[in-house]
Amino acid sequence: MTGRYVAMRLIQAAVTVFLVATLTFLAVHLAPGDPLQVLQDSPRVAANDVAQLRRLYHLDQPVWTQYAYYVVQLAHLDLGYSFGQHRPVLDALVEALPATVELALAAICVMFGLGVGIGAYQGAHANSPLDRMFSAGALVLWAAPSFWLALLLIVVFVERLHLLPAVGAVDVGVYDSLGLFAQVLDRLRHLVLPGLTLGLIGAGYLSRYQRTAMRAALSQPFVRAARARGLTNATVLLRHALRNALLPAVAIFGVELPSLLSGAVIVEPVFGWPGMGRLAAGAIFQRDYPLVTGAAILAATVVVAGTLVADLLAHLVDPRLRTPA
Amino acid sequence: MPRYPTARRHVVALLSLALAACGSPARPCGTACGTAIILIRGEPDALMPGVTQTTDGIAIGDLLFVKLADMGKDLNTVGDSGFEPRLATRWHFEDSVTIVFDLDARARWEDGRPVRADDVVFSFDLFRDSLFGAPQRSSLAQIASVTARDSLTAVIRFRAAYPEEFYDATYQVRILPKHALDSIPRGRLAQHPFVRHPMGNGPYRLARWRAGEAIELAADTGFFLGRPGLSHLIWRISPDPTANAAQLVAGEADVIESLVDPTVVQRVRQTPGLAAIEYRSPVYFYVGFNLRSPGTSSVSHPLLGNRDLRRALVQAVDRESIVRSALLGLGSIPPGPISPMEWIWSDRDTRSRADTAAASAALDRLGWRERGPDGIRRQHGRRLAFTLLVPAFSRLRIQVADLIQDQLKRVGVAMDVQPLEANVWIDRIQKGRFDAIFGSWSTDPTPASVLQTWTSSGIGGYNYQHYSNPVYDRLVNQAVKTHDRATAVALWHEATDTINADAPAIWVLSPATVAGVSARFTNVSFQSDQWGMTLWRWHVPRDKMIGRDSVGALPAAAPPAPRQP
Repeated sequence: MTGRYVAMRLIQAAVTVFLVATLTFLAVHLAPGDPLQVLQDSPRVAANDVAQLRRLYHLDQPVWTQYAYYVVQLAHLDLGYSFGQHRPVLDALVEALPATVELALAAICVMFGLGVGIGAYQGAHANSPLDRMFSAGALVLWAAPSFWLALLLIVVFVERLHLLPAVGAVDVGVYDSLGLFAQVLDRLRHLVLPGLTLGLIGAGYLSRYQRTAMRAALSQPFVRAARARGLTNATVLLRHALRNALLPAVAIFGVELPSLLSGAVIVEPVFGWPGMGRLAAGAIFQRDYPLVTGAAILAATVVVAGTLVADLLAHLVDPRLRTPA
Repeated sequence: MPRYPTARRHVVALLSLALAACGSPARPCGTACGTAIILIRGEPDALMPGVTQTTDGIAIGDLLFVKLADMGKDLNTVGDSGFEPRLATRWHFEDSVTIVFDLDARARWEDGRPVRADDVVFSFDLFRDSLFGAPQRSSLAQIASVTARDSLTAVIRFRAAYPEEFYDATYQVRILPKHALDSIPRGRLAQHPFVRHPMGNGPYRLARWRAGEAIELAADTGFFLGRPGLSHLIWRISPDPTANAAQLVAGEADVIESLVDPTVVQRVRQTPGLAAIEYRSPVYFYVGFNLRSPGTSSVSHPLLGNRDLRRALVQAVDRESIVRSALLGLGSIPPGPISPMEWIWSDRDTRSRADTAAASAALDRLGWRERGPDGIRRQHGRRLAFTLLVPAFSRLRIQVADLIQDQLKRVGVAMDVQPLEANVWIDRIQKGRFDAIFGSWSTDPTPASVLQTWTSSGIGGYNYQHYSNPVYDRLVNQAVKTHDRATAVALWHEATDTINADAPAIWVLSPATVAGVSARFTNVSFQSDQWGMTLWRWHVPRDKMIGRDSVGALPAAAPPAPRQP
């Protein structure tokens, strides 16, 4: 029965990814322009030459014909060739993916570290001045556009305080000449600002959920029982209340992956972060059809795989989700 | 007693080790020192000349591949005056259509093989091959043949004599290694790994391309024209202009080739350790009027098809105040469809002063006397209104469009400003679906660019406005064929006066190109047409070196593996 469930979920995942690929392909092809349109706006390039290139890449064909070519290509597990990168789409994506994963992990640390910590504190000290201050701060962060927050951090930490680097994943000028530990530190320094930007906004709203959950947990009978047993306040809060109040945060964790990936599209270009978000943003502006579709397929695969793993784990852990044999 | 004393000790030890490693001295660079970090907003598509379409790809390619000769500082395109030897040590005109180039015997490819006339023949053949699809192909149409007289002599023959033969023979084509590329099918060359990891003959070699992050070049200390002044050049990809300004001010980067925002120029000027260097701009901005009804090619535009009305609109716009307020004075007013980089540019007064009284009187004479409650002129119930398309990616154009809108409103003309996404913008103007566009052209050094953009031969191509005047066409064609510069200049001025009288556009402004550069560099100069070409002559004096200037030699990139795309 579990095997059948896994098989069904795998089929669903494959269909989802294929639908994402199809919709992305159509959306990007139906948008005005094509990868060669920029060439056509330059008087240095003869119109005949552009037309010839368009024929060469089948861009003069109807969109459905191009789609048929693309599906055949996908069936051979080939994501195509990037116009803007002059290399296979897969090469570009494989090179960019680790940087996005690194950034997403940093953002998750910030988001859950700050969100859970501050939210739990607020829940335990509800209506205190600090609670009100954190609530207002969380609201501001939640509402803040990520590019604005990014620029604010750059102006403060780079231009004014000269504390952190603004752009890139490493200090390209000296990175290769550094020792191993210095290289690790250099990477961490570069990760601070983009990680903070992507994580702080999530922390803003997670802390609000966490505050509510903590307050709810503190009103439960088991907390009163713990206090009645004479346990210290810290033990009651951390071991009993917080442990139970973490369930909403765990649920949010599963939902956060897509928003982190979409957030990366905004944050990565600002910080010159060499990840998938920056790659996809550039490809959209250039109408680099294969790269846009390839990035969407990879993002969909990551999200679908994450959800699938989470569901399967829940299926294994929670007996109520299992169908009786 | 602390609960985790051992763990704490481990953490402290680890941090100490890390900090110690952080402070470890860089490997010595010997006598070849100096690193410039150059910020660029987009990642180049490729580095191979003829394939790359991006400005930065071309700029980097110019340091990897050498041309036969380079234009001098005056950017002359007539004859060979001012051109400086590069791969060719000397040249001569054998007759009116034949140029003979003697190559420098010292020139070498990265793999050590000599650069020979066969490479020149191969490169021209490649650039002219439609299968290769080089953007420069149409500029080489006048070349009849390129041959090798011997291993160090290349001969370029033209179909007919014209003043810019030498310019076309040297400006468009970079010499590529025949032995590395000859076996690759031309149609597949743009997809070969060579386009991203080329092997050149220039002052620098590609050391590493960190995708999405940086492109690093290392100096070729054996470069045949002399050792480059800086050992490393690093192009850091950083799309956001605010972040870029912050990096330059904080000393994290050394060069921004063009500070687009005038307020950033002021900040750079006020920052110790930075210099703002202005050089001639290759760009002019214009508001082009569609002389045809939107979407048609034969019906005159109901409003803007009228020459007198267009002239009144030109008169109503105060371009001097626009340059002052939008560019803080960092720009100039084009005298016609000309960029400051072109040798025919002149600062002579060409109706740049606004005359709102004359504009109002002209509109009155045209029958637009009645004014509606909104202050806009009307004629038989029809408002004097049109729409200006603006690319949404250009903050400057949106800002200036608002200023023009305000100025036109003062004389009773309504101009709606419609910002459009880049691809939508190109689509609309190519299909002629507009009243007016806020366009810009980045020109080549040759004034002949107007053949495609403003003469009748450009209609259906880049003359989006459908401007056509046989007198203008004749004058431009004469000027292009005139060998004597003084006579040519006079013809160009006459042509400019002709097009100005027809007012197919308002030549709004040409922003000054200002680079932000770390003041520790010496021998700094910029060339307007290909700014990166002079980088190999920059230098850092020892007493001004900073940490990254002393970094040891970068590893050279592995040559591209032979593989089929």
